[in-house]
Amino acid sequence: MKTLAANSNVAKFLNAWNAFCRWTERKLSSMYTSVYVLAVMALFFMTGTIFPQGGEYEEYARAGGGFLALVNAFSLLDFFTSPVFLILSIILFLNIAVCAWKRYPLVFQTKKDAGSFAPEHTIELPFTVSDAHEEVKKALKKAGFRIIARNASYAVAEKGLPYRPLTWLYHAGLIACLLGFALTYFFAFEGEMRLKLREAETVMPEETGRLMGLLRGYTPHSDFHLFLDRFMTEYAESPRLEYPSDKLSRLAIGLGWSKNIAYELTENSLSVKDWRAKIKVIKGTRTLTERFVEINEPLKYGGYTFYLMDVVQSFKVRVEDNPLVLETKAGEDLVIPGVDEPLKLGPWRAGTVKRLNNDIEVLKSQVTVMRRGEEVARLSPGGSAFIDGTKITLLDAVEAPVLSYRYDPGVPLLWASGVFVLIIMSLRFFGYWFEAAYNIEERDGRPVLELRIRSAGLMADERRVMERLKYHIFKQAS
Amino acid sequence: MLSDAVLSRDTFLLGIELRLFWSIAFIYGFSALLFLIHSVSGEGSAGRVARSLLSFNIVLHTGLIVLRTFEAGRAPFETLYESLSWFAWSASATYIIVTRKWKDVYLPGLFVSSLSLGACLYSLLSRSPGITILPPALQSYWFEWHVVFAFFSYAVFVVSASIEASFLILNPFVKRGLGRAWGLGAENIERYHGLAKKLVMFGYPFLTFAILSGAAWANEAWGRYWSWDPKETWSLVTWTVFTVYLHSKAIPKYQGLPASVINIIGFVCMMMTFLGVNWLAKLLGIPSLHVYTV
Repeated sequence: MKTLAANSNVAKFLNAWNAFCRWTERKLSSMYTSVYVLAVMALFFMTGTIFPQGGEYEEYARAGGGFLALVNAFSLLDFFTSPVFLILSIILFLNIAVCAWKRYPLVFQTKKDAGSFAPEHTIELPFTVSDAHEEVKKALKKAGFRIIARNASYAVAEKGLPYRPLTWLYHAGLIACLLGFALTYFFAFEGEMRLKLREAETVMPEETGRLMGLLRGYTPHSDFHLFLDRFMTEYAESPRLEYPSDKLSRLAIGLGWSKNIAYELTENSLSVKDWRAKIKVIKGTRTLTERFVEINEPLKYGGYTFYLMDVVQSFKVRVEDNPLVLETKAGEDLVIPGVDEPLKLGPWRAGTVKRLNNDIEVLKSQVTVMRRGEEVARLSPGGSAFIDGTKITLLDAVEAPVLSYRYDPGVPLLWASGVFVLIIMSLRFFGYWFEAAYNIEERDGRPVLELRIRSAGLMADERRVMERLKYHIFKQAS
Repeated sequence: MLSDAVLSRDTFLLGIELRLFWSIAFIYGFSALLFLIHSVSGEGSAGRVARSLLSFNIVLHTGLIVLRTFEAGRAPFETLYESLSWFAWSASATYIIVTRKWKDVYLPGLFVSSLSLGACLYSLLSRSPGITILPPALQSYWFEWHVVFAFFSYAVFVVSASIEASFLILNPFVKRGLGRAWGLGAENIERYHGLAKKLVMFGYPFLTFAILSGAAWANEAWGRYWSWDPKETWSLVTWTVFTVYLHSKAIPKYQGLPASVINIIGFVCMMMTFLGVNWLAKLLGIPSLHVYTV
C-alpha cells in the first residue's frame, strides 16, 4: 500500500514538474515575455545611471546619498553585477535562446504551403487556358521569383532574401553576443602598471577573473617584461577664443552689431596632440617585439592588451642646500618650509610643438610653479628660483606613461557575433522579400491569375513588384 | 603664413560663421512659426511656405557645416556647439527627404523645426564656438563613423517620433472626418503612420552600428569595450526601448497606442543619450568619460 502511495506521489510530482516545464517553455518562448523583460531591462539600465557605479556604500551615505535602504538591498552602487541584474540577464538570455530553439523548425523547414489562400489581386491572363500555367511561371521567373511550393489548389513563389531565417539568425547572433559578455564577466581581468624610462616592468595582476581558476594552464603568461625605450609628448598651438558669455552680447555679434570676438595666442596656448611610448617586450636579453603605443593604438602581447591610459609627471626638488630631496607629482601640494602657502608644480612641458603656421619646434623643457592658481616661477632641470626668499632647485623631472592591461577572452566572440548581427540585421531590415501565392482559375473560358503578395523589408514595394509581374505577363503575350 | 595672419583669418571666418548660424536659427524659428500657424488654422499655404523655407534653410545649413569643416580641418562634431548644429541639420534634412511624398502633411514639420531651433539656440547662446584641437582620445578612425551613424539614427528617430506624435494628434480628427485640412484622411492615415515604424526600422541598425563601433573604439582607447558609463548605458536604454517598440509592433494587442507611446519614449531616451546625460552627470555628480567639456 505504502509503495503504491509513494508511486502515486512520484507520478503527481512528475506531472506537476512536466506541467511547470511546459508552462516555463511557453512563457519563455512568448514575445510578450520579450517585451516585458526588455522593458524591465531598460528600467534597470536607467537605474544604473542614477546611482554612482563602483562607489562605496559608506562613502555614499556620508555624502548624503538618498534611498539608503534600497541602495543597500539591491546593491545599487554596483548594480550591473548585482544578483537582481544578473537574474534578469539570465532570463533575457533564456528568452532569446528558447525563442530561437522553438522557432528553428518553423523557420528552416521546407515550406509546404502559405497558409490559407485568400487572393487579393486578380489579373486576366492573355494566354490560352492550357498555356497559362507555364507562361505565368515564366513571367514570375523573369520578375525574379522562384517557385518554392505547390499543392493542388495553389503555388507559392518567393523573391529576395527570406526574412524569417534572417530574423532567426540575428537573434542567434545575439545569443553569441551574450555569451561573449558572459566570458568577459567570468574571465576578464585588468590592472595597471607605471613604466619608467629605460626600466623593465612585469605584469603582476592583483586579481584575476571570477572563474579564472577553471582555465588553469590556459591563463595568459607573464614571463616577459615591458621596457620603456622612449616617451614623447607632442603639443599643438591652440588659440583661445575671446568670446562673451552673456546671451545679448552673443546675439549682437550674430547680428553684426558687435565685433567682440577674437582668437588669441598666449604662452599657455598649448594642447597635447599626442603621447607616444616606444615599448619593447623583452625576455631575458632578447627583444621579442617593439612598437609605439599611443592612445587608440594599444600593444597586444601574450594574451594581454596594453593601453596607454595616463601620463604622470613627477619632480625632484631641492630646497636651499638641504641634502634631503623632496619628491612630488604634477598638481600635488608641495609644502616647503619658509614658503607661505603650498606650491604646486606642473604642468611639465617637454617635447615638440606644432605652431599655428605649421612650423614644428622643440619646446624648452620647463615646469611652472603655481601658488593659489597663479604662476610664481618657471624651472628648467637644474634651474633655481627664489620664492619668498627660499631657493628652490629642480633636480629632475620625469614624464612617464601609465599602462592599463587587460585580459578579456570575451572580446573575439563579441566582435565576431556583433558584426554578424549587424550584417544580418541590415539585410533583414534594408533588404526585400516577397512571397506570391497564386492560382489560375478559368472564368468564362479565360484564364485568370489569382494572387496574394506578402512582403517584408524596407525595400519591398508591393505595388512595384505587381507592375513588374504584369509587365512580364503582357510582354510575353505580345 | 604668420601666426597672426592665421589668427585674423580664423577670427574673420568665425565671425561669418556666427552670422550665418544666427540667420539659420532665425529661419528655423520662422519656419516653426509658419508650421504652427498651419497646425492651428489648417491653412495649407502657411505649411507650404514653411516647408520651402525649411528646405532652403537646409541648403544654408549645409554651407555652414562645410564652412565649419574647413575652419576646423576635421569633422564638425567634436564639441557640443558643433554637435547641436549637426543634429539640427540632420533632423531637418531627414524630415524633408522622408516626407517628400507627403507634402500636404505639415504637422511633423512643427516638431522638427522647433527642435532644430532649440538645438541652434542652445548651441549659440550657451556653448563656445571656439575651435579646439582634437584630444588624443578622439584621434581614431572610429570617431567619424561612430558619430555620423549615431547622429544619423538620431535624425531618423526624431522624424519618426514627430510623425508618431502627429498621428496621435490628428487621428481623432481624421476619425471624425476633419483631417483633410492637415493633409490626412481615413484612406491614407494608416499608411502615413506606417512611416514611423519604417523609420525606426531604418534607424535601428544604424544605432546598433553606433553602439558597436563605440564599444570597439572604447576597447582600443580605454581597454574596455563597455564601462557602464552613463552615456553608454543610455544608448543601450534607447536601443532596448526601440527593440521593445519593434517587438510590440508584431503583437496585435500592443501595435496600436502602446507602440506609439513606446516610440515616443524611445525618442525621449535618445534625447537623454545625446544631451540629458550631460545634465544627469552634473546634477548627480556621476563621472562620465563622454560628457562634453567644450
